Amino acid sequence: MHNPLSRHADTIFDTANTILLALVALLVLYPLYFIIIASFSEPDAINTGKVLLFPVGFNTTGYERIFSEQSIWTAYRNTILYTAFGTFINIMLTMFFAYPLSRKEFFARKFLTFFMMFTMYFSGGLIPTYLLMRTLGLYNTPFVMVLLPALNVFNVIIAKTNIKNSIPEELYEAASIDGCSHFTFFFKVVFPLSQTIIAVLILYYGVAHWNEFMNGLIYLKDESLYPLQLVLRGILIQNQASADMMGDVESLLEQQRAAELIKYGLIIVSTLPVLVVYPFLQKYFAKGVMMGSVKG
Amino acid sequence: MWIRDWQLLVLCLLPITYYLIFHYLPMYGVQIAFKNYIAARGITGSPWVGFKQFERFFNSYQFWPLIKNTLSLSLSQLIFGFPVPIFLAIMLNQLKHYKFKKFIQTVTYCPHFISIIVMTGMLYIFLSPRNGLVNLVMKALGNETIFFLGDPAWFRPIFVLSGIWQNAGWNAIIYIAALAAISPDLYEAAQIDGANKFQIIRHIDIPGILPTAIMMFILEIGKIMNIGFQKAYLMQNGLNISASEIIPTYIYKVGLIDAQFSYSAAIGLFNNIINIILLVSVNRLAQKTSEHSLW
Amino acid sequence: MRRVGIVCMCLLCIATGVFAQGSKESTGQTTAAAIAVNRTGMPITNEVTTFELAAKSRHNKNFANLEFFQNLEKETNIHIEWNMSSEDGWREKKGLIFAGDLPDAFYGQGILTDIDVIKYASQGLLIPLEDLIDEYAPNVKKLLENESYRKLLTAPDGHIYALPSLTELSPVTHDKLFINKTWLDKLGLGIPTTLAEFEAVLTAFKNNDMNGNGRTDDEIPFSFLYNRKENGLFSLFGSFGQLDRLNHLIVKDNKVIYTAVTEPYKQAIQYFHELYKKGLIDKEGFTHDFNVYIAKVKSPEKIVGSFVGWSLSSAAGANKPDYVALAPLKGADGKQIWNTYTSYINAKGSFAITNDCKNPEALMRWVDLHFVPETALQIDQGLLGRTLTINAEGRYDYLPIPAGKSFTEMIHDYSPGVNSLGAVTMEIASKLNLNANLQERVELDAFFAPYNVPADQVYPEVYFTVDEVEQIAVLETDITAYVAQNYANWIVNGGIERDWDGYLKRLQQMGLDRYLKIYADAYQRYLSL
Repeated sequence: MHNPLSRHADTIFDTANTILLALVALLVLYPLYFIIIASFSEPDAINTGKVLLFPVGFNTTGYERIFSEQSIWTAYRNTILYTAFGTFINIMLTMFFAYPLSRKEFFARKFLTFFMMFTMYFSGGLIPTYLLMRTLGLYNTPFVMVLLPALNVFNVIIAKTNIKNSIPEELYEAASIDGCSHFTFFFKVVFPLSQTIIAVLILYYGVAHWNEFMNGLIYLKDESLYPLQLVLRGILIQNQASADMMGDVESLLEQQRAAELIKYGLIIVSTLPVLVVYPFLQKYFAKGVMMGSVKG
Repeated sequence: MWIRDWQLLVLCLLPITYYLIFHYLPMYGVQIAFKNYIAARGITGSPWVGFKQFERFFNSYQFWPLIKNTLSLSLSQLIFGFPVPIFLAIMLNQLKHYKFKKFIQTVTYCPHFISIIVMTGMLYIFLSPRNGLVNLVMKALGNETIFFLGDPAWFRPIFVLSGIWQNAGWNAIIYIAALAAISPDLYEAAQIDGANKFQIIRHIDIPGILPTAIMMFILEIGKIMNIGFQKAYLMQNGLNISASEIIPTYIYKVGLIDAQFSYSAAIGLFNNIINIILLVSVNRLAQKTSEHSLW
Repeated sequence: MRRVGIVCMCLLCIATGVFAQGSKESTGQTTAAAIAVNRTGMPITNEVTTFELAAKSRHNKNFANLEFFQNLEKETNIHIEWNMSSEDGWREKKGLIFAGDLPDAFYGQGILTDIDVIKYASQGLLIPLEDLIDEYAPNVKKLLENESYRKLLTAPDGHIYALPSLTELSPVTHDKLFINKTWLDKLGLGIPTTLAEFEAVLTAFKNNDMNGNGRTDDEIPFSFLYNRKENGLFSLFGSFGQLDRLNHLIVKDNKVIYTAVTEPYKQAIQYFHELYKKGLIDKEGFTHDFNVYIAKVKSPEKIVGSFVGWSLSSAAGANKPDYVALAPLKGADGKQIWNTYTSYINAKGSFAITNDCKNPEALMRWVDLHFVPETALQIDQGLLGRTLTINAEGRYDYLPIPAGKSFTEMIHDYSPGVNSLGAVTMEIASKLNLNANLQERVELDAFFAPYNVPADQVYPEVYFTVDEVEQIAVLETDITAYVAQNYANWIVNGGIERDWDGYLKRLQQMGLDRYLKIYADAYQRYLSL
């Protein structure tokens, strides 16, 4: 029986909710819109606050400069490959690790959690890792981009927690009564039911690969292997490092100007592909993924 | 039990191998914090200096201000930034109109992809006392312009608020996923009982999201000393340095003059020890008060 | 269970520590041992010799593709395997290169910082060069006959470990004061010569609608950028009897002085605070970044009355005709002094040979070619036939730049330019018909020449020892931050009278004396080299 008071409260809630979220969206949208129009504007106008609703001094120079860089298409290709293969490895390894860690009765659970978390806080640092990559022959190969970040402790933990909380224990009991082994349960039940968390992992790992540049900087020598962000950053000369102007001042000024020109366009160029992918993943965040599993 | 568990162990083999090779093998490098690293001799060949690098840091004139600035920045980020994604996820979850929901979700997670350089660049433009948008609006409303970027008192709020703006939508994703896992039966039952939305949120959404929230909170505490250096460095200027000088920016500046792997490694280790202590404490607290903890 | 885990962890770490060697890997280079080097003439070696050089390019060019190097290789028989990096992340990469696989040499302007040179030389990873220079590098040898260059390049232990990148086309004055003549004329005012007149002019700029847009509140009478040597208030402090510099160090009567604790500095800050209070200087001088600053000066709405900059072409853009240079303003003592930048060296650590190099003689001959005057000019200003050409009188002219390209691009598409090294001395520079930029430098230099302080009042860029740098690093970071903070705060908010004594005491506690002593000792050592 529907309580008329509660219906009233619901309407208030819905209206308030919608308005609030719309405001939030606006607050977020304007700066995003600003980036788009800034990418087509004159840097001087941007820096003096002239750019508000429309581009000022409309030009596509920024984009021309970015795309005139020959290596950018190779870089796009590289990053797509690194992301695809890397994320696949990520998901596999993460789920392989998260499932056992989510089982309360697993004898090595605490030890392995500790084993994994230890690496978050104690790390050998750049030099030993670099030497190791060279010893293993991974230096300057695509494998270093895909294997080195194979697991992220944070993501393993959220996967583990999600599995623990979303796969009801009854399911497991029902399955084990039927003589189901861990392997079978994992591949036939847990994996399919973890669509949501896998979608989250795809997003987290995928974006991490997409934005990766540090590993590329340190471990790759051949330009043909460079990921996108590395190439983009190479095009953009960082302003912060030019406190001491060495050499030809005028040329440095010109470079800084070029950097200003492409700063905003770079974001669009590097982010657009990711933004296009997200809506496809969104459907996994819908409610009712678990529906019918317990009853069946 | 042991017989069943071996299967779990087999599943863990690949991940364990990964950690052993890529993380434990290089771990001998931790010693560098206790040595005076000499490139020619490598890490193992460099001489031990015990805690000298740590002392250098502790004896620095700025030690306490640095800790204070770093911790207060981090804590502010945590206190103000932590609840926002949760609220966002809950509110989004309650939206009935699917397309609108999808749209807002996509929009709010976009700022995450803006690079820090552009982010701070935009902050400077919007907050400029001369012709920044924010001050223009304030003038229009009859208020005084505020010199945001030149006031140490504003540094923290701007840092935290811009961080929330940039990351709330992205961080909400994990909570949206957690909400998606709540059984629809619960919702149906609640509706039958005549509960309104506030009650549904209180009794279904929040408990459903709680384990995830607790876990995220513990993890965040475990990262509390790890503020990225870039944003603070870019936002820093002569006027706000009393609030904007944090440990990473300090290390960077010292490193500009004398790049010593040992020194930065020692400070990194120091940060991590604090992180661990906090992590273990909060985890224990979570264990005692709720059933949920990291291990 | 937990404890067992911890113990296992520790054993694991120890085991891996023992396991992993941790020592430097030094794979052999592809250079052959002891190849015969021709002492003079080309080619340098009779067979092709290969060297591996680590270099970085701000313009993201791979040196292997540059015409300059291809020509050089054909002439010399020296083939270079370039290990290129971008400017981005070079600091991290550098450390790894020294930890792992050393190349034969490091190449390029500023490839190594001063401390890098000293540190790695002291570890034996970089070799002394002076003997090699004597025998195989006649052009470098000639350069070192200049006393000041020789002193600057000599490390505290008496050896030379790195070659510089320098250009005598560098101006002596780096920061110039400009004022908007058009506005002065509009108001019927003369060029200000004293501090009081300057303030009056700024007040007039502020109160009137100078740019004719109907508003009197959008003009900025005076703008600057506090933390760059080309745009800061440093030389303006000279009106109070003593100049200031970015690092606050000057030399007077052979003594090293820290300006930030002196009386003239204090007075200067008070003056600028007064100006700030009256709204005569740019509020954002301490917060805006370089691009915003320049955007203001260049603004088509013409809003800046006077400013400090490198040159009008670079800072004012289309507004250039409005501005003229302003001579130092006379203070109480009527003296007019201005900052001098004596060093033509852009970076001291622009080339260094490692101990991995099997054939340093050949490599030294190769790098010496960069110091042949005509070659150095081409590296810096562009190749003959691309950007430069020789005219009938034997002087160098600039070729017109093709459409769609900038001057910088024309240089760096063929030559390593600012990413290389060499010495453009006056000997060759005087044969160059200057382009507009360089011409302006000369004119501005001439304008400020009567005011430049003598070279011996400038603290030179000396080399410090490893121990000294270790101490300086922490002291300087602390002291500089504190000084900068107060500097900005006092100009914006005032209160210097009240805070001064406490400030001095605090600096003492921070170790200012120790800091200055290190600089003083280093200076004495430099003089005696």
